[in-house]
Amino acid sequence: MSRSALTGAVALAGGLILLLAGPAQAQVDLLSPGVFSGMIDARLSASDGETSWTDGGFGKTRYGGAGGGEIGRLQIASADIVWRPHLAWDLTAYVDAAAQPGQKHGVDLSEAFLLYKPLPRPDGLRYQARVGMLYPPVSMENDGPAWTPTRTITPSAINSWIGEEVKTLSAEVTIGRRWADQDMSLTSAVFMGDDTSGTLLSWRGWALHDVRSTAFGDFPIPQVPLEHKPVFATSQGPDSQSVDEIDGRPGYYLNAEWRTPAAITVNAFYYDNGGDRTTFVNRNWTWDTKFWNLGVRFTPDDRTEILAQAMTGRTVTGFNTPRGWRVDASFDAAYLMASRKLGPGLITGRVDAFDVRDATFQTLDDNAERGWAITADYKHPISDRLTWLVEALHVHSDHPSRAYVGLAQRQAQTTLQTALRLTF
Amino acid sequence: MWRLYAFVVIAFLTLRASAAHAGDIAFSLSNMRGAAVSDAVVTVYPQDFGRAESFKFDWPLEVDQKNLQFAPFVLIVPVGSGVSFPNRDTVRHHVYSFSPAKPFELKLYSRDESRSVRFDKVGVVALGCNIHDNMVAFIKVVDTPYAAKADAAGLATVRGVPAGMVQVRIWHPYLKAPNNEIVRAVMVSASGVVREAVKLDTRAAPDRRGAY
Repeated sequence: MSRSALTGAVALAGGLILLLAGPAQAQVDLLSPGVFSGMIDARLSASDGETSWTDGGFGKTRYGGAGGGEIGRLQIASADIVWRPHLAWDLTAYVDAAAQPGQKHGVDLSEAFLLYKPLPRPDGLRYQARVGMLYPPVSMENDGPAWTPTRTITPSAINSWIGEEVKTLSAEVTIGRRWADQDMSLTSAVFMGDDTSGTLLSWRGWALHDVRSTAFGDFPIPQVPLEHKPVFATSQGPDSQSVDEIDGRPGYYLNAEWRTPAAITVNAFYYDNGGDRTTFVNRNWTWDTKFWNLGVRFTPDDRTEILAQAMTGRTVTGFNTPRGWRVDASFDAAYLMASRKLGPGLITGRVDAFDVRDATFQTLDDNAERGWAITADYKHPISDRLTWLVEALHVHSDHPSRAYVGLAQRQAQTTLQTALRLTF
Repeated sequence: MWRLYAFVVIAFLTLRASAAHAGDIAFSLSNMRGAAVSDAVVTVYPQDFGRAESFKFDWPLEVDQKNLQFAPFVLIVPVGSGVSFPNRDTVRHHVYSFSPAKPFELKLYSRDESRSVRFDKVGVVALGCNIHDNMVAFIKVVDTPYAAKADAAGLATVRGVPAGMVQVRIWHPYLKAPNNEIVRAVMVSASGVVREAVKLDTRAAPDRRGAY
């Protein structure tokens, strides 16, 4: 069991008990049907190309092929139950229990936090606080129940990475102000956990998938012959525990958002996990990861939405040597997405571009990559509770370390998927 | 018997009078790109129109909360009326407004709970829910019985307007104009329908997505 997740769970449980120990009030609602919601995603997919990273390969998509052959799959891609008890009118908890196939535990925690949100003041000023295990406010795509992307089945490379490696144990405060036609807000947080953030980005590279990290789960790192990872041969395990605290040092993030009068929303986010590069615990290293994310949302009319995000950052780990840090990788990604309502449905197209630039030890352990992806989705509401999506996703990438396991360093992969999402 | 007779005569005369000296105004509202603008509110003030007697509309004075949305998005309410706020969801809603016309706060616990609020000042009341940031609606409190809301096709018909030059006000929450309202003068003929096509310079709905 991971220390950080345990800390988070204990803090949340402690908070709940403290609140319940107070005088019983009508505003407390822990178990009525209204505090439970959820989503089940039934998925049919067909993929070609290399083995998916979720099965230990270098493949960029959630479902991979069989190294040339195609594979079709039918599965429950995810099932979530979200519990949002009311402890007071301005204090709620949010607990998302997620079942995702292929994970270490059948059911695990995706997010668990307390939300304090009083009514805005009459002058439009508002504030809120979140404490617990949560996704920092980076993704503009994952605005559905249980942090699902609502326009596509698969989120962009940026938000796939947020989903797997940017989940924190945060104490977060947001202050905002709304005017008649615009809104500004500033979020700041200190956090524990997320010390392994950067592991997958360096050793696997970017990916496009909708698997989320969990409190007690881990993700496979593509395995290469040990001569390419001499320092990490014994100190790093085959899996990365995404949410863990390792070095005991806090990190922080900041986000500023402006919803302008011109139907354009812009935000700027900065993250620094404050990692101590030389610490490792339980065969997981601390990665010192910093990144910027810029996001733009533009709605030229009521039927059209344009989303774009760009990210740039750097992640470093291992001991410092005369030739630099053992791993020192800079990473960049961006996407541009357009959605348009088509009758009751929604069509979406997205282009992704991504790269990792390795600054050290490239002849031994090359972590560089370049790639792009194109995604097309159609989403159709069947009823209030049932939504149908179909998606085509094509990824091209050039990743030299594939050669360490005898694969061509350039690979292309296509996944066709259809999802039936039931919300309750 | 004589009462019934008198009633019929008066009703007949009233009908004739209104038929002879009143007309309808059929508005067709579109944006600058020609797309229909729904949910705009048209209010008409005839000349020498003083204070309206108490009047009613034929739609329910109700703002539902259903599927985490307010319905309707815009409700026209006669000044002084009560509006009920039934919660049709299983989740709680915390409805509030800071609009000067009526600041209020309603804590609606669960399904089928309903509270009522009286709107005694003319103006616009913007509604929000503190639990669900994306829930938005507007109540337009009016002091004229000659009022109508544009449907999905952007059509709004105000019926039985006394003949003559009248003042027309068109309001929409996202209209680019002072107080989101424009004013026009329209000549109403003694009978029949006047057709008015109006272009409205609207902006896109503000981004109201909430993080949680």
